[in-house]
Amino acid sequence: MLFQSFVFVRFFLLFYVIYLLLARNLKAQNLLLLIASYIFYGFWDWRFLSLLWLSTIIDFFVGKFLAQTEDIKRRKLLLAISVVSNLSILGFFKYFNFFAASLINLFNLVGLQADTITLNILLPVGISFYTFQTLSYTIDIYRRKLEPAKNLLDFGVYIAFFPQLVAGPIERASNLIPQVTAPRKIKAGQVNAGLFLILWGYFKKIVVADNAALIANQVFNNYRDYQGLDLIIGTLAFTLQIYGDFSGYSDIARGLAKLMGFELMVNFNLPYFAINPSDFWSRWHISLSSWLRDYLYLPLGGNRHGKFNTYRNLTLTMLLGGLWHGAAWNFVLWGGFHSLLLVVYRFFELQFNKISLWPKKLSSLYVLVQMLLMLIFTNIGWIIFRSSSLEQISYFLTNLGFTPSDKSFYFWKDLFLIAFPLLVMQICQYFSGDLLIVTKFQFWLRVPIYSFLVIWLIVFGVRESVEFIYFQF
Amino acid sequence: MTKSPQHQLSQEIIKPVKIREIVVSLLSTFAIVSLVNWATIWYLENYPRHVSYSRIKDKWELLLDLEEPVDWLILGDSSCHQGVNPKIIESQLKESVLNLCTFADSLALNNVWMLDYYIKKHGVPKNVILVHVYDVWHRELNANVIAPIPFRSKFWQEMEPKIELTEEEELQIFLSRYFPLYAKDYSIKNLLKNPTSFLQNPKGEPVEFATASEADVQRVEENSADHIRFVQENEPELSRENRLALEHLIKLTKSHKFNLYLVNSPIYEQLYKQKDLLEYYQQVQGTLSNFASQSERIHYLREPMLFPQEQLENSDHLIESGAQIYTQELIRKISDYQNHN
Repeated sequence: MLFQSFVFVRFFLLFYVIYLLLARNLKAQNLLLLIASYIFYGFWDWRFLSLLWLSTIIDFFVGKFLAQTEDIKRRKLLLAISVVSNLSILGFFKYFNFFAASLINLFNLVGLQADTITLNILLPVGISFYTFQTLSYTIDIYRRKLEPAKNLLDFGVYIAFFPQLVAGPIERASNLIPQVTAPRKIKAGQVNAGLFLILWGYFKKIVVADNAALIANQVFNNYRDYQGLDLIIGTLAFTLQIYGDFSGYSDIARGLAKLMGFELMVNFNLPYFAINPSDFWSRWHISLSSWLRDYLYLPLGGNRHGKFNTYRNLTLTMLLGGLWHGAAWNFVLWGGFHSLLLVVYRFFELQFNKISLWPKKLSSLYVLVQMLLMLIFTNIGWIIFRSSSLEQISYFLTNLGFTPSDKSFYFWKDLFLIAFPLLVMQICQYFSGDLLIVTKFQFWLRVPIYSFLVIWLIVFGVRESVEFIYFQF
Repeated sequence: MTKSPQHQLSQEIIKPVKIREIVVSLLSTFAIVSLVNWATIWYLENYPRHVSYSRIKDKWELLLDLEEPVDWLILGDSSCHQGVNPKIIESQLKESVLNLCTFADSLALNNVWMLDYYIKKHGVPKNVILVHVYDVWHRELNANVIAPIPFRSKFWQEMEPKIELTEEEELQIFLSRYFPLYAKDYSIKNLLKNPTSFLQNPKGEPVEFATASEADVQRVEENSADHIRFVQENEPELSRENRLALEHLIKLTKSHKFNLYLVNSPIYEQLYKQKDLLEYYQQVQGTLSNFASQSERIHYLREPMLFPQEQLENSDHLIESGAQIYTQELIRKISDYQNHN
């Protein structure tokens, strides 16, 4: 059930009316939320509900037993059960074919003959998201940072909460479970912000991402037909596509949650305004990067054991972060590229800091230069991410240029019409320091902006339902 | 690193509001979008972006405004709109003519509705000519061509022949008429991409006949190649709506006893020589002959008139000089036919 489908709109309206009617009965509201979440998820493939239930049951009881025992060995065993079972499901469904094929390629490379083993495995939608979410629950209880959920209903809602189930944000139990268990009060301000986020999210997905995808797909799928400026435009189109697609989904999810009285974490915070790699990862897919930081980078030692270990930890974290995105080497390479950026940035950090002590005017210029530079690196990263072979990456990087073709002008025009409103909005958000700045504009400015977004959605919205890119992760 | 004062992570600050404020914002947004939508309806009425659809409305307006009956009623698709010059018929035969040809997607169905309406308002016409391109007959109804017909909703259930539309098709017609922001998004997108064309091509008075003045050799060849691909990939069939239209024509000619000349559109001579096309064409001719044979008042002029590319805009649309030849030849053929029968 895609957010932009009429089925979902009908589903949500029906759900929401009943949800509001049950406002005085928290348990009934949570039960409704759980059933609705399973219906929502089952719409893709009801068979995969069993995996969701399996993860829910295992981690609920692991959490419960962890809280009941002080025995270290037993606690470790319980945690291992949770980690191994969750990662095994994820590994089998997402990575089996990838590792099997990679292993066979490796055998062939060293001259050993090996038969191909591939299974016809369907990837359960959103499995990477809810696996990470449920893992954070048991790990936090193991670390004694969290009390376990009191009952299976509350925990089930935490795992399956439908707005964010299939593409995040990856919520922490410490944020979401208290909201599931506490009586809910939906405030008007929250509804106001929620409605804006939904509108803005749909705009980013249907207008920006789906239109940019038309250009990006054309260029990336037939890259040998393009040269120079067209390759730059194709890359920028993908840059817009992936941002609009993913952050659009997050905004809709967060907006829907607000309408229900929930607050989900900000998942994207103007990432293309980042001034360095570290800043980028504090703005892009924040729920994943903070998860990787808390459950991988810091346990590996973080930056506590010297430069070499810090770089190693960064590299390992980013490589695994890349692999989280998909079972293919280009994602690993993308993770590797970002780890390189982070390592190089860390290495020269002191020098960068000296420059930022320049006079204010020059400092602003320096920020702008940094932004542009980081945007270029981000784009190079997206080339790696979107390409299907090393040859394609190499073609892009060696043929990028500023020589236009007959199509360049039309590409620009199409891209401009969809990207310009996004840029203007984000400049306002950036300089005001407020992601909800539009909701605070005066009536005479706010309402025309809402109207403009609605009209653009109607006119420029791509009608065929295009799946969100991150569903495959 | 130290960030400059303005380069910080933005926050999400929720402003306390009252429900009334949200409702007013929603209603005002709805009002502005509605206003823009109505402005778009007005604009597209006065600056039509899709000539073919606006032609359907124009031709219906000509028919609705017709005060006196005419001697010759010309019906058909755009090959006829560009091919049959009513002025030539009027000057040669000294008889009144009305060219109501629209475009291919409106099918024979729209023509039969027009004929039926004409008969109810003005009585039996003296002569009717129906001109269609060979590839009209397989086409199915496109609900968008119903939308410009200037009658109230559900009129298709009161016309003869009646048709049933699905809920989806009815919705499509509704959106096309009243919600152009959604239904005519292509036109609006093109307009926004080319804002200099905003005030170009204002709607003029409805015209009966219009054609290009210069041939387009390249387009003729490209269009011919498309036709060859089409006949290679498709079997000749008669769509449900066209069948209904032909059956109603048989009924009308029998009950009202008037002559109807069923005519093939002009066609590019080299295209007509292609084996694949000829095979397809002959099967269409066979189907139309069968229908014509069911009423002695329907006269099917089986052989198409062929034209060189210098007289064509595409493979079946004539330029002015070609239209002159086609119209004169049509008069001659019908006269011959009348003289021999």
